[in-house]
Amino acid sequence: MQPCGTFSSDYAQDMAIIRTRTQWVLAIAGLIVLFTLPLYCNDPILSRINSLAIMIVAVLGLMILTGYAGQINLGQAAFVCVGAYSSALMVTRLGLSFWVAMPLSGVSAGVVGLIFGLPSLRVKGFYLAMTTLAAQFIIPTLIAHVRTDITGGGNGLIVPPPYLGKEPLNTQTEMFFVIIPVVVILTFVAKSLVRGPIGRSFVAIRDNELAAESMGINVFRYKLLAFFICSFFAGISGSLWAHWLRLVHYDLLTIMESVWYLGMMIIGGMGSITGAIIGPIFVYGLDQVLTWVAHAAGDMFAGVPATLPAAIRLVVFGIIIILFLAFEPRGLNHRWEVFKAAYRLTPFSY
Amino acid sequence: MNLRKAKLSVALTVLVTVIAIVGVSCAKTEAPPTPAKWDKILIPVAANLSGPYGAQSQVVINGLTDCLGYVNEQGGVKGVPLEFVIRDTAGKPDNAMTLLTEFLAMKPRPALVSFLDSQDGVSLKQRFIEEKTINMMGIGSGPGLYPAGYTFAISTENGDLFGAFCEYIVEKEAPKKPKLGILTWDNVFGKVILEQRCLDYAKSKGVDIVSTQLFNVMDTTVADQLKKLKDSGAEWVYTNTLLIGPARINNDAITLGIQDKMKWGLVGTGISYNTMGLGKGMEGWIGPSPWASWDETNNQGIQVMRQQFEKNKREDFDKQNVYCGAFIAALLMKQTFEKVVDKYGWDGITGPNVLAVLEETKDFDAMGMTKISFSKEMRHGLFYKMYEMKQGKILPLTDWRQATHLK
Repeated sequence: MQPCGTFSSDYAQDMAIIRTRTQWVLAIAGLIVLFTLPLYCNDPILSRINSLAIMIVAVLGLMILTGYAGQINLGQAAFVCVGAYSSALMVTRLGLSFWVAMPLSGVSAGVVGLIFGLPSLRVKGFYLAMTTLAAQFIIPTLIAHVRTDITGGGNGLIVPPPYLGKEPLNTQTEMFFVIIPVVVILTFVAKSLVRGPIGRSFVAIRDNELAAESMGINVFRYKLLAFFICSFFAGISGSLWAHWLRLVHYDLLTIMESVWYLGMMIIGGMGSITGAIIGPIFVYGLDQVLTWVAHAAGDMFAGVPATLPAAIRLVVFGIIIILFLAFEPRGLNHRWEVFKAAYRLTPFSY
Repeated sequence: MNLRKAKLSVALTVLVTVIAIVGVSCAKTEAPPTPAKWDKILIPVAANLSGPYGAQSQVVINGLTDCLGYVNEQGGVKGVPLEFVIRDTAGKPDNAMTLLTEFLAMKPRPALVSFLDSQDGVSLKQRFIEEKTINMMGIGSGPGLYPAGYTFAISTENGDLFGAFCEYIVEKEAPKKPKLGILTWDNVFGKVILEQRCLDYAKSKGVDIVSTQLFNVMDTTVADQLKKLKDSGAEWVYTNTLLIGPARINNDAITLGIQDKMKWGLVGTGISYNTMGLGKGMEGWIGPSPWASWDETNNQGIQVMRQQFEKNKREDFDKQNVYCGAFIAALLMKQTFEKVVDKYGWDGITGPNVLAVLEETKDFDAMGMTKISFSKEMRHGLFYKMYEMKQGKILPLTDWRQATHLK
């Protein structure tokens, strides 16, 4: 729904992401606030923002594949792992610059994603979930056991920071200015993709595969494309993660991470790019707030075992997520849409 | 659509979000505490408290805090008490990274932190060097410790302990060449002893490794692997596993009727009452340990440790080797800070100065509980004693010996 009095008079206007003057002002103000965060946030906060931003990239990819194209993926963390290792190897073994390695690692993860996407023509739903789950086992096993002289095997790989000229970008603030522009660009790319013919084909396949095919959509091609895009985003996320953390190890990206990516997407709201951003913010933010409460409780009650507040934190976290899904199963994005509609309709309630 | 309801729910959502943001902002400013210089010396400790290893981490935390109680009763560091700030990594490397930035933002900035998980030791190793901050670990792994930087471990490395075990069985079986089978966890921890440096050392000492078998932490049986080891002609079996690992091997060996027909060894950090409790009759199991046993009641350090254990009403589960290791770590921290203050003054408590003092540490014995020497090249302990599980006790077979550092 557009604000009252906003009409499209041509196709370009209809497709524009930002349409009104207010939206432009808000977008520019938002970007200014975002890029000036290092002025008012210290390193611990920036570290959290960096970590969150990297997650958002992975969830954006998953949203395109699962939220828009309807292809379930339980192995997103494995594709992040491929991107992380690709980037680390390209930088450490081939001597490539991070700036070259990052997009290439997206491509390499995309190619691996294509392979695991091949069964999507034959299988759907839970069965497809199982094939993508296989990625979560096959990829770490290959890294752990094949050519460990290259992958580092059980020791993992130490990764250098990105360099700008001869200057290493190794502080949280410097990494912020590496990570956030990538996130902004990829969000814009994702939003543009899903609003165009590709996105509409994805949605058609998600809603009714047979009907989509009868309309002339090459279902197999678009499914593979969705897998490629999803894994490409995962690869970029992995590359950023590796150079931010400065270590890659297959044990650090487990099925739990894949499940969390799915959870963030569902909580954000399936089938919306905004959901892919606010979902991770909500889940990660909640986790961090509860962690802070647990630490504060631990500091306050010195005699209490340190594991007790940590365990309570997990229980409370689980309860909040259950309650959230029970009362708002359509995700945070739905709540956001309700808010926007209410704002735009005021003072009329219809 | 009910507009009032929608607005109310949006207002609530915004309110919750604002509270969350304020909460995180408060975390930035209020936690961890920032004392005046130096009414106390804060040592940040990060461990995986909410993950599957939470219970085990708690034992280490208990050992650290019990020892700290003792240290502070004795006057702390020249009258200034030590205090731990304990934080949970939840087993996630990005949390560990965030915690490190939080620790470094503390005032005064800590010169020494303790990330207990070897995974964090590896992932943050380079950061400790860049930030010139010491990381004191219990059990370190090769990649986390070398090339030498700012990370130290008080335990003898598990690969080195395997080498020590090989030396011992060669000595015991001489002139016969011992036939050894390895049965260990299929994970980073378990497979350390399968690294080429360890296998080469065993071979060089005359140990014939006849078979290598793996199992997963959650496997309920290892009978197949044991049969394969037996069929390969192994006389000795060594496992680099903890708690349920050695107990499972022992129990399956009893079921197969081979427990008394073979000889058994385990890594010293796995020797504990819990392992003995889980395994039926683990009589005769031996292993090299870098830390004294709870049953060496004549040992001054063990006496003090037992007193603190009783005083703090700890449970039987805490009676583990790692509790002893944590106790030693806290004593080493105290000694190190005292030496730094002696040498550089109170304003000299900085990472590089603590590093310099640690590198000069020679034969630190924690009241007889261990023996540790560091140097510019050496970042972990090298000494061990061989222990045997006998009649429900863990008794020493040898005095302190020096293991070979398997680089």
